[in-house]
Amino acid sequence: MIEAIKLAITVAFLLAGSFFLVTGSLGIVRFPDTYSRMHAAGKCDTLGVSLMLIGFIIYQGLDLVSVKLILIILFVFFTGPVAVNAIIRAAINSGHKMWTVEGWKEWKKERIESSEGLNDTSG
Amino acid sequence: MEKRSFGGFSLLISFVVLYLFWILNSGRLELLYLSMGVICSFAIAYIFHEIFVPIKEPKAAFRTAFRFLLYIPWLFYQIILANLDVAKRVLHPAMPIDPQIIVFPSKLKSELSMTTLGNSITLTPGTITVDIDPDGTFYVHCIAREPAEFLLSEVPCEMATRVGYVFGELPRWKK
Repeated sequence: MIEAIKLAITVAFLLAGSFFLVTGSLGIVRFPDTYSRMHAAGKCDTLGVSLMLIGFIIYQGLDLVSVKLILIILFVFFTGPVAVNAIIRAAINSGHKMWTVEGWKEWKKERIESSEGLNDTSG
Repeated sequence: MEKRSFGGFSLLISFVVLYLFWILNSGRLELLYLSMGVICSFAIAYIFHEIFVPIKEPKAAFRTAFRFLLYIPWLFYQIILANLDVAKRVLHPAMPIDPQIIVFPSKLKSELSMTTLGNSITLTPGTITVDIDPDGTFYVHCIAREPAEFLLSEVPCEMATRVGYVFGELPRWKK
């Protein structure tokens, strides 16, 4: 009985973790620029990985292996934001432009105007 | 003279932590492995103890470590809350994002506390620390206005106050 409950909790944690990992990957595909992609890539992954590792810890019980898993969670938590920050700084230094709603609307408007102009000259 | 004793403290702490780490990772209690651990962790602690223990005063170091342990669960709770918000934005068909850079003062003084706050902000989904000025001004890229609202609502904001309390720079957060 206890084994079954343990297994259920483990599966729940693993499912939650993989949900966040999948969401993060979807975010990388859907978001428009480097900066907003890092939001999805950097943090959904941190939480997803740590939730999965918590699942493993519950499955394993408290022994030397689970202590190592706890250490992995700690290191992921400390190094994740540093890596995200490094990538953001690299993007800024190499001159990436930020995607904004206003810029997007302007781009769309210009696009429509230019296509209308094309229609006028052709028609 | 005084500085000498503080150096001894940081050496001792880093040696103990490194040796515990060695034992946990090796998992063997034979004499050979234990003595190898003593040699390695003493060598590393002797070289790096100045960097390893950033707070030199013993009492302040223990107080900070204790408060930091209490800070972690709160941070984890915030991370889960904000992560659900970002997950919602990713999965929403219209993708309601409005990226912008916000600026706010934090009133933190030391480099260590500013680094901790910067990492906490980056860990909280929806906000990434882009840059920190030496006077404690934070530049934060946020995916939309709402996830960053908790940073702008007050000066200093709740997270900055909690980090400041951990490092003994600001009074306790009251609500």
